[in-house]
Amino acid sequence: MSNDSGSARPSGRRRGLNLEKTSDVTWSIGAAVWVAAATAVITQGFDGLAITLGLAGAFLLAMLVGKARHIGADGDAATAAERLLDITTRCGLALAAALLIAAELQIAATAIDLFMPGRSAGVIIAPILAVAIAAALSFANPSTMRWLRLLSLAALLTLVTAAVISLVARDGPAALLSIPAAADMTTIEAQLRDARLADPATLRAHTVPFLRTDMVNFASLTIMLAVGLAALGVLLVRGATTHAQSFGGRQNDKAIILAGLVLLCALPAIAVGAKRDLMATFAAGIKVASPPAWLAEHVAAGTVEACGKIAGSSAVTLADLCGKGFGPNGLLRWQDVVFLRDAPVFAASSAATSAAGAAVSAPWLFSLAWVLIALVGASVLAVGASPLLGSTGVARTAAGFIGAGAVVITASGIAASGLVETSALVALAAAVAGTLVAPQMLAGWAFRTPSATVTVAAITVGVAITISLGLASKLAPITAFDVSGSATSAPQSVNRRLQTLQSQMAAATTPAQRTVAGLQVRRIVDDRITWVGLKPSATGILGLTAALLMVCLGSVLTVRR
Amino acid sequence: MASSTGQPEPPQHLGRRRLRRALAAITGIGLIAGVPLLTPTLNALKIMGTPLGYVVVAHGIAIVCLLWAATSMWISRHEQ
Repeated sequence: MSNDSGSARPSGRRRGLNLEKTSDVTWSIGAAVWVAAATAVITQGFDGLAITLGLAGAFLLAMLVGKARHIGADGDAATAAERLLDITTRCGLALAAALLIAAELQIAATAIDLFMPGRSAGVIIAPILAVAIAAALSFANPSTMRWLRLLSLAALLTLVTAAVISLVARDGPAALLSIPAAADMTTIEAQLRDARLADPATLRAHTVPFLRTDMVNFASLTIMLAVGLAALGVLLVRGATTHAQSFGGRQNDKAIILAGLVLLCALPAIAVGAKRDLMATFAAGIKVASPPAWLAEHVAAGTVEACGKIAGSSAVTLADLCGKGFGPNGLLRWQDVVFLRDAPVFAASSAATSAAGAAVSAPWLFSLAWVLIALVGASVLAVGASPLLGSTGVARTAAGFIGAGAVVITASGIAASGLVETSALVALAAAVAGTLVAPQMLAGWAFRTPSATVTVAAITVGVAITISLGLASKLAPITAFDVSGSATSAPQSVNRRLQTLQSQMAAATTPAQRTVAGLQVRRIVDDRITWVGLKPSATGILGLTAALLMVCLGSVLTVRR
Repeated sequence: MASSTGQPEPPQHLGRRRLRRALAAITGIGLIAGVPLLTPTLNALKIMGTPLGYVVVAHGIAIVCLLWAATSMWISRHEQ
């Protein structure tokens, strides 16, 4: 893989920070990382900041580290081992991109379902649109593609501006710096408890650190996200710009960087403000018989589980799910509604807009903006990761498009399976990219002529460990629960419940029964499985460590011989 | 490797540059991994009612990035 795109670009930098790479990171994250970060802050409080912090770390690393050399073999790979390294790197990048694209497609599918309620319409429509845009990026005129990306940027900026204005209008300019909404939440939590609208066990103090995770897991996830997102941005967007020669507009770099960093600074405040307003809406009382419009939309779209049930069709209402005479005085309690997929961000945004007094006159515009951002991000990643692009090839070829299409279709399968949440997909994509890139950079820094064979072996083992540990709890939850040793430390009641569910799955006569039992199994084991004390989303650090050790040891032995 | 001015870079400068980048990367990773560990201590202080540790983790590093980028852009603009 050709490494030095920097020479092909006019550099506006004399000294200091490496802003071109920061721009690439900003382009590569589309909608998935922003939405995953906001969802994590809303649902997990302090512990959810790991994604925000990892993203900040990715910007920081991209600025500090400079050109990503020593990644893959050069285009003129001389030996079979170097060609193998090149192919391995391309395939690994395509895998990481497919995972991140799957996350983008999940965001797009949720947004489509919200403004076009219908069972799984988004899962079908989003990949078709992504392939169409990838085709446009592969074949169209470069200036056309630049306009497409600028449109996506404009949509993102519009969303951010609207969120910031509503937040500042409500809490004043200090809202962006001191996050007063976090302090307000303490009062609202007390109101919810006093009115018996929330079970104290379901309320977690928002600002208290390490309630859902510990310091080691938090730090591991942050480091992998920082390393991986920086690597993905630099390598994939560089691939897209080099091959498609389409996103030209390097003159837009500075505006893009500033937009991304301002959004990064504002994101926690926006998310916390939205969560505060969502909780305040519940504290004010939501009648089961007459829910606000945004909640009715979520019920119809099947993005919430209300009173333990999910609507089977768009005609089902909240009252149908919960039954008449539900709850204290017919009011919905905080724990009665569980937002699925990435719905917390959409629901909290709607609640915040309502609380700010703005009319939610066109919620479909909001959804449409996220769809656009996600799909353009997904398509750019697909073009950049197309494994069929040679170092001298151009994207405007059938091979380039087929490669991009294959990546999108793989991602569609991952997204359609619905097995992995968006935040877990983002973490896994970053972990794969980090495991792929960091050992090669280390070998390049530490050893003048690193052995390609050793590097291939190290990154293959590292990526295999990362993928296995990251996905085991999703694909084979009960086996992972046993093998990881988590079963021995779990209470007996949990093990008995799992045995019952296994029996139900075995005795199920319809796929629906099996799916319901399977979902319950995953819910039980998801928070309990750990590998050497690390949760699945943070296990990328194990794969990375294994790869780094192998590359160091292997290179030392090779040099000595 | 060519330097930023286009002149070939002496090998000893290349080594120093690599070392600087490695140190910068390690410092960056140490910063983002280390700051949250201070949260329990910093949370004892409040800024407008919100625990300081939470505010630092939520905003601190992002603001540092923004300041660095803005400063670098400003310097770059005035050097050209």
